[in-house]
Amino acid sequence: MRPTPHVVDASVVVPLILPAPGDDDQLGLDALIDDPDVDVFAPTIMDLEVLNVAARRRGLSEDQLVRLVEALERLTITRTDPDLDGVARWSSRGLSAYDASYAALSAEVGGPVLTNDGGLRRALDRDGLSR
Amino acid sequence: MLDAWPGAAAGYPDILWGVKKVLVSLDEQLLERIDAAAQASGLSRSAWLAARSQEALGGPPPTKAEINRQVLAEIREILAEAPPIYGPHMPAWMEIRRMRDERAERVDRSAVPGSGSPA
Repeated sequence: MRPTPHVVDASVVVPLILPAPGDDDQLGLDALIDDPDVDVFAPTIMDLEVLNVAARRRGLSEDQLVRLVEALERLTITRTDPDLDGVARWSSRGLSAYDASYAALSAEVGGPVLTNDGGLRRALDRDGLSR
Repeated sequence: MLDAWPGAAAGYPDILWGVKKVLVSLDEQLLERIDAAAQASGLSRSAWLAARSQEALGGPPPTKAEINRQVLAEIREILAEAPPIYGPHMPAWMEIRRMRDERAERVDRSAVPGSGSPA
């Protein structure tokens, strides 16, 4: 049986790896990435967004940030960037290219986007791509 | 998947939950070789030792859950070294939304002729 695809954005990964009191829910991402019957995807921009939050929020040293991203890369999330023409099509609907990369990847792999970002979710809801 | 931590209900992150710290005596030169091998394979010392131990034990390749558990344990170790978070902070989604909007605004501004930074 083909694993069920899902796309995750940084707003769900951050609460999983950089938890803080009162933070967002990670929406069951911990179970999804462990599930052998699920393939979790993210565009490479997700790592940059998580790195940004880590640097701003936690004041990690250079060595700590490097170790953090080395660990982050090993989480069982498949990084793959969508085709640029797909990103362009979503951008033409008013999304920034950054948001469009999640939408385009979702359409490409055929799975919903798991996100806490209301703006992205509303845009995806119009096409039934959020979860 | 991580075990539930009793403090989670109180809103405190469980930075050390599920991590077993062990004190192992190793020859200094052996430790240097371990660190060099770990660095060469892009792994932390803990991850490298875990992987080699797994091999030595003849076990099956790690499951996704085992990989993630190891990764999250390493991240918790890193965060345990970092300064604690005091006071309220912006929720992750808001922080990320703001970054995304700032980037998009910068691109918008640079796309409008004559709207760039003053010389």
